[in-house]
Amino acid sequence: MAPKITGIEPSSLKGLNPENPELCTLEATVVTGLEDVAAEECKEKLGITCVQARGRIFIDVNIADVTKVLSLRSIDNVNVVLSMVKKFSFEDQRERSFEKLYKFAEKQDWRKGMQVWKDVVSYPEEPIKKVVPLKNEYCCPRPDVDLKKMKLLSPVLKNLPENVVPEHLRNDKGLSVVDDSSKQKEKSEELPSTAPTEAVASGPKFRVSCSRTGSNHKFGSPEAARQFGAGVNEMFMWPVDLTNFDLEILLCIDTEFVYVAVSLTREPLFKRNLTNFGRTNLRSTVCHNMVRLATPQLGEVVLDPMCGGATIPMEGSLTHRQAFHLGGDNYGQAVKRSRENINNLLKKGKSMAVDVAWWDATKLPLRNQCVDVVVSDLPFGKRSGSVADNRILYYRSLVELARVTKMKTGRAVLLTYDKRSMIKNIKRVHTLWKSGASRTVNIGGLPAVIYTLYRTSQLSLSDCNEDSKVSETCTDHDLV
Amino acid sequence: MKLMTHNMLTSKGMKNVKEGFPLKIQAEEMRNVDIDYDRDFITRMIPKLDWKALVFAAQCVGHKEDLPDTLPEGYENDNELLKRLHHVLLEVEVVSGCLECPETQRKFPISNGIPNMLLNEDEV
Repeated sequence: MAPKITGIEPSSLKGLNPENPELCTLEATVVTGLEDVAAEECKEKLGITCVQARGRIFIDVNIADVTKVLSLRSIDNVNVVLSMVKKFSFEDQRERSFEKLYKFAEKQDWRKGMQVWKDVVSYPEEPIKKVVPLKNEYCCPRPDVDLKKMKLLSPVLKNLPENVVPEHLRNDKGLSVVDDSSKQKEKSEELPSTAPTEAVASGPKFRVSCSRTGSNHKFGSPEAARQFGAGVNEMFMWPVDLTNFDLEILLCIDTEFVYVAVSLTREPLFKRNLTNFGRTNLRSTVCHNMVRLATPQLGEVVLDPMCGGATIPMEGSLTHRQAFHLGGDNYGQAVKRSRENINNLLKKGKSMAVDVAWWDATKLPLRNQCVDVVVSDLPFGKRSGSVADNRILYYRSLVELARVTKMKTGRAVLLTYDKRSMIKNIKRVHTLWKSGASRTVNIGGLPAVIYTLYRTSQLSLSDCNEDSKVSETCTDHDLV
Repeated sequence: MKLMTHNMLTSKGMKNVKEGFPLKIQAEEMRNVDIDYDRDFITRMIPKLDWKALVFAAQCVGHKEDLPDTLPEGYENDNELLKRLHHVLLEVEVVSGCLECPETQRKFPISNGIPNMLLNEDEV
């Protein structure tokens, strides 16, 4: 398992050092559980060793090579990191924390970050025109606006002073409903007022998005975003636009670990192959990583017996051109969708050695031993199929897959959430498939598992090797 | 449906079928696509193919002249043959028609480039 972000040592990332003006640190997000596969792709295609953390990899790369990182197939989003602090030292008093966050805006390596951003999005002009030093203490807090979406279960709710607790949570906490109008008037005289901006705001429209974890903070994430954003707004005079922004600045707070990054991907990188969506499409980045785990060799056949919209065969045929990718599904609508998806990519001029058929995965219309690799996203039993069906489906398809997959060299990489059905059935077919490593992967919030299996030298359940001591596996009643 | 796929398809799942291979192709509509030629890929693929079945399929769809009846020795060096093989295997697609089982003559329809290999309950 990759270490949590709080375990990262900022000094190990050379791109964060202002003394390396040509180097920048990129953060590439990856589905949790597949960080090492992304790191491997990075090493293979860019020759760079990355630092892995949970859900992301950090890559120190020359600014000129940033676009190469954007062409990696295993990552979802890419951000350029401006700074990283291991111990931010948040204060007990809210206002002091606000001050620190507000002033933190001045401590970022904006020149480097904005240079990278400008090149990637091809922004027509220099985003930093002039830099105005910050004059205020901090931005006037507006908890009535910022904490509107705070949930009752939020761990920082207990840390907020009574007069700050949002209206909708007061009754649940047993606090009396406050007469807002008089209190607000009093407060506005005491608080530092933000200096009126005389110059007209110009430059890229921006927003600050904050993600905050930890139970000891005395503020919510929108409040932190407001402080930092106010600092940025006053320094550069960039206009704020929370919906139609050109520039998104990310403020990530995990207990005392804080880092700031600028987003380089407006649309996540996995939105590339599909045009026709089904109920349970797998992200193309996860598809890529799964095919990568199976290491298809030159001239091999890669099969997905339950392909749905053919997401895995398509991604496979685009990135692993050394193999032929074949998919199939028993659901007519899915097969139709696969054809549409493939045709749409062919129209864009893509060259893909991929094909789709309509078949029953438990009775594959394929010759014995013609497939080398199986990569599949099995029905989880939640949105597609059911756990009761899985118990039979997994067994029958594992047996059928063993028939068509080459003995000894064949392997299968299978993703599912229904661990019980999978583990039980792997045991039942252990003479055909040897269990390899398995890893937990976060698929849309579900802790799914990718199982790797290797073909043994036995063709079918009724075939027994002479050395096999376990005779009970060789009887016909096992063939359901 | 590409001829590469056809080389693997069989109707053996049906009862009373011994081999069910190769399936006869009756093509109504065909199309050609562009796939990048990779010589090493084709060379490596050849041992996995059933050559006779491939020639039979090529004949069914009118590409008879492209491939010799038997695989010649030293095919790795015959670039022209490899190119023709690449074309027949990956670039020629059957859009509509059907596949016929050699033993039972049961027809598996192909529509929109997808062969429907699902069996009925009484055929299993």
